[in-house]
Amino acid sequence: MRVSYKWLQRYVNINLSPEELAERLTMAGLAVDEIEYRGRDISKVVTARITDCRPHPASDHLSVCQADAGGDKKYQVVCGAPNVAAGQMVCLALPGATLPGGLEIGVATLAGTSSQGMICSRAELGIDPLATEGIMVLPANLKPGQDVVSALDLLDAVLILDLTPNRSDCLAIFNVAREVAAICGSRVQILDSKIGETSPEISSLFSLDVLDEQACPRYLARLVKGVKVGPSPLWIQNYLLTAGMRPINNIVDISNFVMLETGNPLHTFDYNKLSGQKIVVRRALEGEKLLTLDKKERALRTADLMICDGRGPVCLAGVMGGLESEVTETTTDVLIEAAAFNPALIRDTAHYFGIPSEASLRFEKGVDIEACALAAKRAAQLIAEYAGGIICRGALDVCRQKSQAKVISLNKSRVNQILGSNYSFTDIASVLQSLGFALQPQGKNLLVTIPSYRQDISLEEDLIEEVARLHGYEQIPTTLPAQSATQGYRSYTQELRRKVGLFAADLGLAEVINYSFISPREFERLLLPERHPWRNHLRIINPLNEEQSLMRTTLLPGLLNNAARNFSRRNLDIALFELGACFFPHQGEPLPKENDFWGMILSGKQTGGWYERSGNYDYFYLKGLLEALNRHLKGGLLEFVPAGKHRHSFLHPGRSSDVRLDGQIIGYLGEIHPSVTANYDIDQAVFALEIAIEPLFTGTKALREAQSLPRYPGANRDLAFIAPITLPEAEIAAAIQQSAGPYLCRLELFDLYDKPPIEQGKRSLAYNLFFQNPERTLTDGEINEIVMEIIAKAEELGLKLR
Amino acid sequence: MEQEALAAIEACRNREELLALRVTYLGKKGSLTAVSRGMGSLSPEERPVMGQLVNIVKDKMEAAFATKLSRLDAALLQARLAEEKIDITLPGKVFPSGSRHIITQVREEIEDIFLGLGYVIAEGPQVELDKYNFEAMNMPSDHPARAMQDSFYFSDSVLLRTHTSPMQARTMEKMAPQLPVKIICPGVVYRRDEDATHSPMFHQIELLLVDKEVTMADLKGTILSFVRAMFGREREIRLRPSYFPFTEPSAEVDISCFVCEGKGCSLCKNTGWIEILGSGMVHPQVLKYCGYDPAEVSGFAAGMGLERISMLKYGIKDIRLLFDNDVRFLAQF
Repeated sequence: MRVSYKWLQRYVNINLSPEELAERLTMAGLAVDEIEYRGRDISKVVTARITDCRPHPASDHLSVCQADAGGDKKYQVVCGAPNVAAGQMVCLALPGATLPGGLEIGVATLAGTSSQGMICSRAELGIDPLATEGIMVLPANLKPGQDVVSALDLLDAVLILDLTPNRSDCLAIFNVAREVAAICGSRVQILDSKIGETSPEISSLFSLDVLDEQACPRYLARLVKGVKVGPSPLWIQNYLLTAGMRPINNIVDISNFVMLETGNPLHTFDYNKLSGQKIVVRRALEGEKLLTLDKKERALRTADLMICDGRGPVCLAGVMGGLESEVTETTTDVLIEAAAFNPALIRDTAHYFGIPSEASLRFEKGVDIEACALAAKRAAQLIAEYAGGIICRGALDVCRQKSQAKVISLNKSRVNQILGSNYSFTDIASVLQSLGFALQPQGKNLLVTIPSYRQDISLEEDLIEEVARLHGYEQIPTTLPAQSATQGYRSYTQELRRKVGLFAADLGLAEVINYSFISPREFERLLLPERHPWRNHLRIINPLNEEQSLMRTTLLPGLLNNAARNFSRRNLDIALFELGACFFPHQGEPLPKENDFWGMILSGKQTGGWYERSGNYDYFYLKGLLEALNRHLKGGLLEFVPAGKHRHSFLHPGRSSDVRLDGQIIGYLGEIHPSVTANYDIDQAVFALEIAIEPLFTGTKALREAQSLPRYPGANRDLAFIAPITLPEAEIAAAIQQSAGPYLCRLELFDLYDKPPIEQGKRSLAYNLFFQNPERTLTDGEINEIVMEIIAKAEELGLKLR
Repeated sequence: MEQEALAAIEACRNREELLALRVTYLGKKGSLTAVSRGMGSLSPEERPVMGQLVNIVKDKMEAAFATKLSRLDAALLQARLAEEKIDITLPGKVFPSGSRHIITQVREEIEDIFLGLGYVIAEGPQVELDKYNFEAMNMPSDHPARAMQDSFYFSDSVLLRTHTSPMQARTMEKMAPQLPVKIICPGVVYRRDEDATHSPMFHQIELLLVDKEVTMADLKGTILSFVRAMFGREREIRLRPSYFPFTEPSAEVDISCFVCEGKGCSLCKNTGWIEILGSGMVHPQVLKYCGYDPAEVSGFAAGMGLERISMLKYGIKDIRLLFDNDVRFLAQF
């Protein structure tokens, strides 16, 4: 809401500068975002009459004008505006003048002709930044040679308010003035509602019928006959411009002026274009159409509320008038409408047709139903005053919903109890009175009558806020809660999630956060079969776009897109992880299942440098990361098994596995299928894993009993076997473990070799075994016996001791 | 012999020569050993004189051998050390260095501050019922404030939560009538908005305290305490009246600018203040809806956007950088 400082001064004495007022309003809850100064940077611009105007001899669009600026000197000015003409009163920037934005005017030569100054447009004077009509033409009755800033009363400051949704009352300048009065400790001037009426009685001329009271709780009409449509007075034009509205003609400008003043939008009809001597307020009928002011034909819905005459719709209620009944230059009789409509209905219609306006904005928020009569009177009186004509006696007024003034009981100690303050009865009462609330003491309470324009006040707490905000929140003390202390803590799961993130970062991975929405195309990119469980997803009804329309069922697409984006920027080595929720429809439940997953993606070179061989990330690097994490969490038994029946179409068939924890599948790990990486425009090998957090965490042990250290020394043995390359290492390790018995404490594969002299189809696996008995020292003989067992078992498997 | 031996010891170039020389003089068949063996042929008067002489010479030789040996060892060590010299300017072994997302780090920093004040962390679903997201928060279906939070819907009654406030309702509903309710609720939230300062998905942290006799003064104190822990001991706060459907009175909280210390700069748009969170006293309708009697208990709530705080704290200009996940950006935090 744009509020002119000068306009406010019409209603209230302000003892603060615009800047001070802005600060005080902000601190009272009406945030002033910005102050726009008008007329401030203008100097040496005067009113001048164009005494002569001829086409420029050397140009087809310039004119050479002689201007009388009051003194003896005549100014020759070259002007490029198409609307310039002899006899006009204009604003002339004399040589040496300055304009808003710091523009300085001198003597110039244009197409060979000297120009002493410049004739200004509204835009150049900062009066109306969007004006395009050419030079500004002033009323002819002004005297030439006056400073335009004072002649046009331009000096003003516009406070740009960012209103909270509850304070739509301040979409009325007059209601802002009430706030200003409360802040300044002064009083507002009551709006003049005097009106000079003459016969005939409006009700003798036409009738009003409101068929839908729910949609239109109040409809009030007044008639002014014999008006002359023309420009509105400068002061009204100026005020409209400060509020960001363009002047049109006296009738429209006055209705807009009153809307800005009171917050009640008015509509004006050309009375003579209405047929049937009646107004009917009803919903549109099936198939009805209306040609609106913007010359568009609107196909109406039966939900839309219409103002109709004897024939049919003439106005889309509260949103936009019809073209046919519009007030034009030929209009003589004006019907003024002041109404209140159902806010939700207006919101719906305005949004449906995409034509929000200053009027619909106010109706959407709900207007002060009590103020309709005043607004119509103000408009009628101003029209009679500035457009001539007579005001017909009385008004047609259908107000079905007689509202009763709200009365709220306010308890003094409650105020201080909520605020932690120490306000006296007088402190509280003075604030409420300054806002125009009527008070009546009742025992320890105050009965507060809420004026109709403050629809936002309905509870005791609302009044407490009024007290707090006008005294200033800075007056509220600063304390810490006095209640007994409590212990803050992270839950076990929260702590573990934190631990996983920290550990992953310590291992060299960077955390990413991706949107929870994905594109339906991801499933095709991942080559998922028709009935893959990931395809069972939730769809957003109103997504921002199709690419963000599904809730993710996997972290993988996000991670692959991260990889692709980084590669496209030549960041070729990536190690990323994400901890986040995926969403799965939950049969029979209103809400889906949200499960947290841990995803990782690796690609490119491992960190290395000169110190060690730095190869590319691979399956085993990723597997090692997961194993390290599980060890860090003191998790259960982790196994990597071929995907089996549960095939992952998006993984390399020979380099992928299901991840099992204590026998339960918790995710997958592997190289991304080259056809899938190709779908993401990735041309390097990518490795990813995704596991469910919850089973990973349930497998962990919160507390473990400490083991005492062995007191007897152990012994190391190395064994190397030649094995068929097709035999999984895990089976060999399991066989060794099994045959070694309880004293094998550690088994480590320390070398793997499959080049000559090893026979093709075979490989050599070298293990280090560490034996220890906690009870006593093992003898060489005992260890040899165990080793023999191991070798025997290995030979059964088809292994040969190397 | 003494003169000759001492000269020979001095002339030794390495350990091996020295040990061989020792054998030559002091070994079983060494020349000094031979002298002491030959003493049997001397007269009883001469024998002690000669014995004493041999011992003196032997001690001298032993001492000379020991000194020479340690000198040779020291030289050897010196040589080895010289040989073992490395180029200490070569880079160290490179360990991979990862990072947690800035939002995670900021979230945890805030969590830790409130854990210290005795709050626990409550988390809940991102796909939420209208009932918790709006109705319980005093925004019935025709409430205009719903337009402030344009939402993504799955059905008439199910949507992506537009704020973390539904966790207020869920927690209170579960706990009523127990006191105190003292929680922070971090989480992902969604609104249909996208530009340089708005992302359709973002993160909030909600703060809620409900107990007997909780006041707005307590809200101020708690927030001041948080702000100083988060943004520096010298920070001041300023509360401005505002509007949220679920609090009354409501306040926007500004902190004194940490870049210009209130002198005015581009970050604070020359006001000296930066808006960082919304807060207020829990609306009586919300308390009622969630099973508490507003006549008996009161509470305060506050909510802040983690993206905004991260952007402020680290001078990030475009919110989209936070979800772009470029490794060069991630590695900075």
